[in-house]
Amino acid sequence: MYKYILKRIAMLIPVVIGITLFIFVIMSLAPGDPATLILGTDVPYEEILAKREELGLNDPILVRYARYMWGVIQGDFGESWYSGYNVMAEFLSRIPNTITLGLLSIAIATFIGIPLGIIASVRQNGVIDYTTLVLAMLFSSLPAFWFGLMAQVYFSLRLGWFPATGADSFKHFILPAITLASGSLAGNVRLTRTSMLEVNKLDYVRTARSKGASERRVILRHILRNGLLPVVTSIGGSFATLIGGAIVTESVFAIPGVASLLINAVKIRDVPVVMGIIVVIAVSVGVVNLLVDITYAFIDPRVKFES
Amino acid sequence: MAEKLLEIENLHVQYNTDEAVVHAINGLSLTLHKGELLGLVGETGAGKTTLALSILKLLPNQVGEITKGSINYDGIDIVAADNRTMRDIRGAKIAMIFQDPMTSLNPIISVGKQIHEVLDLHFPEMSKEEKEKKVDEILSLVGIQANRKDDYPHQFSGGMRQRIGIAMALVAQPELLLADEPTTALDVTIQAQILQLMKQLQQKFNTAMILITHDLGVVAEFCENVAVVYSGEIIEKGSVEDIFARTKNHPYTVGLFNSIPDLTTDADRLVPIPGFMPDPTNLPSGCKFAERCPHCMEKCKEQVPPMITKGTHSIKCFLFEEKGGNA
Amino acid sequence: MTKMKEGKKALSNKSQLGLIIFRFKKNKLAMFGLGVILLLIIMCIAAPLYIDYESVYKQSMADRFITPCAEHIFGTDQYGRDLFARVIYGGRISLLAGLIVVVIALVIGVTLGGVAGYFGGRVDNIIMRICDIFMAVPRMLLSMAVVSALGQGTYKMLIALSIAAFPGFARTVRASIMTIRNQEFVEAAKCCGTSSARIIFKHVVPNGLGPVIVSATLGLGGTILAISSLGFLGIGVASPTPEWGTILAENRTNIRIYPYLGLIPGAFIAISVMCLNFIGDGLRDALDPRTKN
Repeated sequence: MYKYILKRIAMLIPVVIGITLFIFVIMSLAPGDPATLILGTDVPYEEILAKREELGLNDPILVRYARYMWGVIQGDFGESWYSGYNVMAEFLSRIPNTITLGLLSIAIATFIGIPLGIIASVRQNGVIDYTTLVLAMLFSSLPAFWFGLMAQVYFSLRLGWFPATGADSFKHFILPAITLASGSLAGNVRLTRTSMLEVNKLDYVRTARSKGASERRVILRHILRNGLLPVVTSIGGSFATLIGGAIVTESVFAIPGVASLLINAVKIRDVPVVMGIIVVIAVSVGVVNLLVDITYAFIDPRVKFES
Repeated sequence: MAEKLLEIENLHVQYNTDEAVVHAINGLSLTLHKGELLGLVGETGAGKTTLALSILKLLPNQVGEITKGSINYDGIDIVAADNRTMRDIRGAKIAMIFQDPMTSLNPIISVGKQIHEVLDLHFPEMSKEEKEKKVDEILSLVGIQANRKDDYPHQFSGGMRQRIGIAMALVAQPELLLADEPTTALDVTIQAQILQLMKQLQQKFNTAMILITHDLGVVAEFCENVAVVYSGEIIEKGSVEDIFARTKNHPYTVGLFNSIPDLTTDADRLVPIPGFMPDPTNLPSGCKFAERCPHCMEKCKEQVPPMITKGTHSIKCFLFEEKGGNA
Repeated sequence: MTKMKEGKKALSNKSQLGLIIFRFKKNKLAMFGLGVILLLIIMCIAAPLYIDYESVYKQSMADRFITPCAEHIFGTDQYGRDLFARVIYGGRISLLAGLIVVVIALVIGVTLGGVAGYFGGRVDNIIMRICDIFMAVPRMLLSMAVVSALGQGTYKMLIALSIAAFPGFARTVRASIMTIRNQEFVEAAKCCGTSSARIIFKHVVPNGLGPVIVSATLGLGGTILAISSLGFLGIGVASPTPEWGTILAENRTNIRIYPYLGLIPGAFIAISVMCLNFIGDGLRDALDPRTKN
């Protein structure tokens, strides 16, 4: 198994190199001289030249990329071009908020979504089923930022149940987490339901019934465990979507997390900051997918680690 | 004759699909005695599996429906029985072996646990050790080493999985075993082994068995009695000798015989039955075989022929009404 | 169960396509979605016929924050601009931009996925690794990074979103070609001496088209969502050009007091995405009746 994990991590390396190289190259080829952008046009030309030298912009692009990645391997993600802060330090100071938000919303999506999906499938074509399905359809189509915005207006500003912005206490995270979770919660409901109904039609479920198992037992012991396999995969897959949603959610609720760092950096083209965030997220998406595959192998005896 | 175990009277079963109502079983009657081994023969789509599922009341929910008739199992009215009663019957009194061993075992539960589950369900008072012992016993009876009980289905071959299916069906020693084409999905060489094993265990436990198959050879070799199913009804039944004597048969059974190779005659061509089984969404009003029957008469198209019984042999055809001649 | 297959024979006189349309038409949600989205598209296309283009931008301090009424059915914003005009003209941009992105991504994705799936081996490996690279980062993040590199602007955003969307299509196409290629009916066609071109156009394309159409429909919804998210974050279509996300961003500070400013543009995004999801789900069920309960 260790061999398999090592192999998977090794496979991650070309992917990370590929994506960072792509971003690095297009950011460098983009029109406009970064030194001029940083200093403005009012400064003497010498200063701009000096800034170019300082940023290492005079070297060929691949050299710059290699130099950057060499730094990354040593944990040095460089400094922000505009504000001069250390990218890694700034990132680390903001990541706890983003992780709290992410974990909380994964928990909501999983522990509410799956049971709802099970109930809907058991009561197939019943009132509960239709209500859940329609709501799930609705929520998976709502733009997260709009949902957040409206929830903020009603639950924070009008009713005063939750703080509207910030990240000072656990209470601050409830509304953002629900906002972020809404899409994947709806997805989990639908997937669990479909998957349970799908498994329900399989031969071995009929075998279980022919043994005299009660409906409850058939559902919990035979359908659920098999039916959850695709849900596990999807929860892993939704991690990437979640990051996308986190960006807008953090922005709506003004949570000082990674998102606001990124949005600002994107607007002013602060290359080291954007690059740093891309690297960290590409690696963590890869690691999460690996973790999901390992979990999967523990639930499903048919899956063997190929090494 | 032994005591009656199962009595099916004028059973009608239909599937209500989005597009149409499918009449799968149309007035089927059948009696089975304790310890009897009955072969149920018919083409794909004749309603054999539907019959087995109806006996266990495992028809697909919301789709399959028993519309008419009765199933009486050992004094229990199956059609009217509630879930609780059915659960106690399934696995303990009536067990089923399914057609495809590759898909009928739960892929993520070890085979030992799947057999164990039957005991958990029906013998709650039995100790864990005792149950384990029973699992080991039944596994070795079907020819699987007991130390493989912690393995998962995918680690076994098709034939071995069917042996596990048999072990699961027999572990609670049911009185009736429904075997739905248990060897169709297996290699020919394995087929004989599995059938032999089933017959051996059937005799050992004195279980009654309905062996569903489309293979007349299997019936001739393993069964005592035969029922031929066509379009959801039994058109001929009798002892193996009655049917295989081939002196008096329903035209459909004759057709079945003619469409299998027979090494004792030197006919160089097989004679298939022309046409297809009637569309189950739109059944003819008279004899369901009329359209394909070489002896079809005017009344066959209008009236359903009666079941004509002579001794142990019954045939549902007008041809045998008075003269009783051979078709 | 085997009987059910025979019951379907009654319908087999309809063609494959006819059968798909028949099943799709029976799906009420999908038909509802199709109806609403068509209505929306017609409203947007025909906008110049019933809305004066000037009112999209015309500011009037006297008419600020008029709540929905007969004259301004969606009310007005902080500059006194008519929200109805902005939302309808915004729809032209949101829907069209979504369509452009999906078309570009489809062309790239279908070509790459088709080549990978058809040739297999090394070519497949290289193309799929490239897709892996672009899928390593969440779509939203990748588009943001590309926008940041190219600079802001509607066209640049379209390119960014297309880059982020094509690997998904490539994978879908490749997967369906792979499955079809190995299926027995293709083997059978080969055995009959059918030419490659005929196999591709008669068997592979019609059978592989389904999943592509489904993912394109669902992808269109996702893209509209992404466009409005970028607009909302201020890195998509730039204000004052009306786009649903941008309109929300413009009104953000005033939603608290005038909720209609947020409810209306958001509802347009939600309704279009939801209808496209309905259509996509309906198509999937119609193409593969087995997935239906």
